[in-house]
Amino acid sequence: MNELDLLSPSEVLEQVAKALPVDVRDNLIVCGSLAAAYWFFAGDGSRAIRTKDIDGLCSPHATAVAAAIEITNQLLEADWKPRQDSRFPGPGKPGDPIDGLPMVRLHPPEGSEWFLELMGAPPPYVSGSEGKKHRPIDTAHGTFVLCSFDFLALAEWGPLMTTFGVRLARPEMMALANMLHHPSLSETRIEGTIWKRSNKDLGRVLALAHLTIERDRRAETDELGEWAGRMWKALQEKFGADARTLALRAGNGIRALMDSRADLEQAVVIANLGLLASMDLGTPEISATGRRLVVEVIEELELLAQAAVP
Amino acid sequence: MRQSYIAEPNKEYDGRWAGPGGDILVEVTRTNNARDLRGALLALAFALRKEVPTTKGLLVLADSKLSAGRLAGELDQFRSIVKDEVGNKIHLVAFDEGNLRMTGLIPDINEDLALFIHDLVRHDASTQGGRVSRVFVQSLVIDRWLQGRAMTSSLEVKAESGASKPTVLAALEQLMRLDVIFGDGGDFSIRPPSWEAWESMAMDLRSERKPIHFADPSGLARSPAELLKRLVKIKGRKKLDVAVSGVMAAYHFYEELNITAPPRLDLSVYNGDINFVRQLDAGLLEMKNLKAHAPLVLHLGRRLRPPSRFDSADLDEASPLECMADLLDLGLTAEAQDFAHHLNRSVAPGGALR
Repeated sequence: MNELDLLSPSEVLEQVAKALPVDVRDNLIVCGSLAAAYWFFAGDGSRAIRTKDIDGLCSPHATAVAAAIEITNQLLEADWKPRQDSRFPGPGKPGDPIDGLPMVRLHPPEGSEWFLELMGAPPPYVSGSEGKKHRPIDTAHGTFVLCSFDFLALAEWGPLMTTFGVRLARPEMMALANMLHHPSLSETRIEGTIWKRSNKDLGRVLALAHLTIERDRRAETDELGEWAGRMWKALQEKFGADARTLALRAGNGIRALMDSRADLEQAVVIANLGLLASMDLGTPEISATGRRLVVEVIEELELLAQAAVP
Repeated sequence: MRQSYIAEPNKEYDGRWAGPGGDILVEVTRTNNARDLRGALLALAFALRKEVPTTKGLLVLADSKLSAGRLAGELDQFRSIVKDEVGNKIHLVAFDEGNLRMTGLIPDINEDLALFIHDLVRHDASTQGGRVSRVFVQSLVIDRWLQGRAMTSSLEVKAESGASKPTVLAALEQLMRLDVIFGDGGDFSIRPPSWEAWESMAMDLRSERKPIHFADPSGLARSPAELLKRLVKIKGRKKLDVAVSGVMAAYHFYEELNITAPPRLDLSVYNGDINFVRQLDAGLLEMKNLKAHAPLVLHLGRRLRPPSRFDSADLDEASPLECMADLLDLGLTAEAQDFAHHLNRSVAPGGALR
């Protein structure tokens, strides 16, 4: 994993927001670690994160391609730079095979380690279909590909508006998307590293829960206690008849992670390099959070699903 | 399907383990005396006579000073005087509660059976194996007085507490020494205890209840008030035999108690079942290091006051004497003394705690 600069979530989000065309700002939902960091750390100058990809979800599905085209055109015209990738020397042209097209990944004009990556809201869920989908987008600067993942639909549920006019995916929805994406621990590695992708994504779930609990204790709230109810509503709205099945299997990956000491330790290391940077938590702390997540969120979600008519 | 269970108090054994090779009747006993041990082995042999031939017996000797060699010798002697088909089915182990260690040989031992034995020993500690102690009796006498239902004779105490006559007499003698009761011929009256008497009774109770401390390794412990809110939520879903004790319950009896922030939540647990802690806060872990901060402490012991209905949304408070024992455990001696004076002031002559 590369050593990355610590970023201020507010500064990065403000920069992204200002660069976006005003008429499509509503069509972008920022997800991933920047969204989480802004949600938890905005206003706390001492808290920073390490990340390089700022994930932007073009939403809703029906207008995702149009929004992605407009955002890409405007940012490239404002001197944002496509990220160098040896597999894709540049954008393609209409009609090129989809696997030969680069994603929209743009660095800000002044140059930086981080880049904005565009994704698309997924179409209505069809159980058993390929979870990752691709659509070409023909911009004024060439053809790119817009990826979407089934469970990213959850990021569209009740996003939070920021003072910069850009919306953020809710932490619990990002957590649920990651949990559903990893029903088990897999051997798939993060490209170019020895780190398991599932450990990173499930570790992110634990990090989100930990930050939520930390804030709950500070503010004397019980936000974590609201997660299961919101997750169940979102699953019903986004996945209809499949909501019950998904809810009942949502916790499998986290339980597997909690049962594997080596994987849990790896997840903690990755989380400390990203969302939990500057907190430096150990496995005992994160294990406590994991146990709370299982009892207070996953088991509650399962109860709600079990009570629903199959 | 056969299931393992903790037995009702009137059974000849404390628990039944449903193992793949047959059931095991488990009896927990606490003694440092070889004669009691022999009696317990014989009682187990009698219990096995009513069972199918595959059922075995296991005597668990909790926190005994008898050495491992002595236990092995006692078991050998026992087996030499009973028929082989009985003697060979009975086993004996020692259980050290402090270190959670078991010594002795058990057939078909596995982790689940070891955990079952652990739970049985804990349950036995909580209920004192069905025995009624001197400390319980003296605490009951004081609690009834606080409730305005003072007992006035040794016969009444015996009937109310279920204790043996020697235990009742020992308790009343102790209360008389503390100058809490006076009278003769088995009849007595109660006077408001001095602080020294309150302290002595609370310390007795503190020694008798078994504390279990929980730490929060995440550094994100809930406050006692938040834990209490969650306990109310759990109570709506699960049958609990607990009462709020310590500072949180002392507030209930004495609003002006001079403690601004309760340092922890104390709960009295009357059935030895602590599994509800997982629902209360799964981040908490039982700990042995008593110097570390414990946001939650459970006290296993016998119930002094009848519970409210289990389906009631409210939580019960433990008796004031249990609260006082917890204040002393926390080192809040001045506050405990203030609480004691309040109790004395609040009990009207012949009346109840106001």
